[in-house]
Amino acid sequence: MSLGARQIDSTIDVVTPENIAFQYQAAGPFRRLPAYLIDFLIRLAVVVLVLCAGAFFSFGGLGVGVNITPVLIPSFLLSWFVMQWFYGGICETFMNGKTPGKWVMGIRVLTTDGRPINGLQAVLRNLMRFVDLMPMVSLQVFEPWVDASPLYVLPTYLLGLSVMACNSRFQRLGDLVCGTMVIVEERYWLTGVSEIDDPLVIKLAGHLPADFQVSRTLARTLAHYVERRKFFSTPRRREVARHLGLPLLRQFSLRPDTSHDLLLCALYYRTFISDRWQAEPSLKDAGSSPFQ
Amino acid sequence: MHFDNIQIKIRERGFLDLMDLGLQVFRVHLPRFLLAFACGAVPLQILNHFWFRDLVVVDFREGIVAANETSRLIGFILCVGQMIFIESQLAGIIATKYLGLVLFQEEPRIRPVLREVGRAGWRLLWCQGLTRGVVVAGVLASWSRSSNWSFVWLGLLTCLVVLVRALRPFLNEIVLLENNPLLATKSQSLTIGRRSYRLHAPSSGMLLGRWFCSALIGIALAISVAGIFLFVSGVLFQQWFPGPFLIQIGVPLAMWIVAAYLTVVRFLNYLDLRIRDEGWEVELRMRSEAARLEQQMTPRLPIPAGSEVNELNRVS
Repeated sequence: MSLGARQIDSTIDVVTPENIAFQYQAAGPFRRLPAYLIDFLIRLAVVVLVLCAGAFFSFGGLGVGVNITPVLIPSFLLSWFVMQWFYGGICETFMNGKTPGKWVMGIRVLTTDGRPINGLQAVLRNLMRFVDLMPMVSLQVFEPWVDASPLYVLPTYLLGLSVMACNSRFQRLGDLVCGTMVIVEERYWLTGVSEIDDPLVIKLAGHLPADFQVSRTLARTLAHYVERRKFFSTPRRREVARHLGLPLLRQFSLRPDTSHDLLLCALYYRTFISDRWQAEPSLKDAGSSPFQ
Repeated sequence: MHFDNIQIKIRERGFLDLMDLGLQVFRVHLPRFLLAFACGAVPLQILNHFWFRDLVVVDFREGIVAANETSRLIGFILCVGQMIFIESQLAGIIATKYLGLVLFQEEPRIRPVLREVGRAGWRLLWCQGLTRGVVVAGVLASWSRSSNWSFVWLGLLTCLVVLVRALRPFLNEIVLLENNPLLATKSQSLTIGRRSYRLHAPSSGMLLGRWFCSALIGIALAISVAGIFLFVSGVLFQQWFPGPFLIQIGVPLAMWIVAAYLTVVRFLNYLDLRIRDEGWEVELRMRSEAARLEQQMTPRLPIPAGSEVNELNRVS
């Protein structure tokens, strides 16, 4: 891979017209699958409820033995039609790009420039879902009726899956038509400076050469190591720290049997903790603060 | 090698994110990856075809499967499915090595990949061929032409392989990418068995859950891909009921396509496990930073022995 080339990842950059950059994690087909299943169950439950309610009112109002077909079938068809075609659109319009399933799974629909979707986009992208279910297999797969015309009812979902796999935002056809995408609403924790109170680390930090400039990448690597090292076993810690510990030991001309882990912690301490405490009094002494 | 210059962004991910990422990796490396996978899968599928072709009576000239053959048809699909499941890890060895190289390099060629896989030949034969039941399954499949009992044994073997594979899924990665030896030359050396235990045992619950989820998704995907073949045969040839071509070629092809995709997912799961449990991404950063430091290094005077720093020689 050439340097600077983009890594394969589900994170996408969005720059708004106001030139503000965001990073979102795009939700792919498998991340969206549980949300889809939850919504499907809700839709099914509503249709069953409508059917039950229709049956209840028919029996209660007209007495047992009355033909309930004129009430039940239209109510079933109407509820099925509404839930099939408008459930997603209505929910996404009034729930800020979420359906109940998406809300549970922590995903949300946005436009490709990072704005909330409008009603038209919400309805249209859900109407287009029917195309994403293609190709459909005929019911004849179960019985070889030679003369009957095919009845396409079994979705394979592969058109939607292939289209989603072919673009980095995981947009299905409905998303491409409406200029929308589904993103993961994740809250990232920003960790502060790790606490280091081991006296040996502090003592070793005092032996590090004062003129050693910690580069940006080295500072980032140290921060990453100190943040993660508490989750490693002692042998693993030793194994990981050795890579950077060896050249640093040579650079600082320390004894070769110095612990690599302690050395990295000491360098971290000097870079992120002790230097900060030293910097604060110097600012105070500078006399340039308007608050003095 | 630039250790921090990796094709895939290295970070912890959930299982469903890994499945999605697998789609992207699959798309980016599709032609060569499929070629690498086909190198392993085609010979095995030829053997499968030879073993099971008589299970279902088909007439290619008439283009039909006898109507009373439905139960045998299901039996055929089950047998082929079990064989492909058992063989899929062995079929994916070249593809796994390819993925391991492509992670750090620009598009490796297939021939060097094959050469490197060849170097691990005996270890792979032992680990995948014998301990993962591929050879036994082959023997049972060839026996199936003379005895129906072989199907029962094949079913039992599949159950056993499910258990082993669910708890120890990353054997290919250990053998091919970590290059651990099969037998210990010293008491401390990290053999394939020890490494496998060390990698899998702490996360066995998570691995089991992930394996069953991916198996469910894999079955659904295989049905969908086979559905596409059925759709094409229905639309083009008005053949809606599975015909001989679809049964003997389409169904195994659908299964192998899904097996190829799941090879990518397994590789990504392996990386994720190493990131979670071993801090692999920290190690990569350390190595690349060490390489940078080595370039800038300047000699300094050593500190005399007996100084205060001596007491710091411990791992906290």
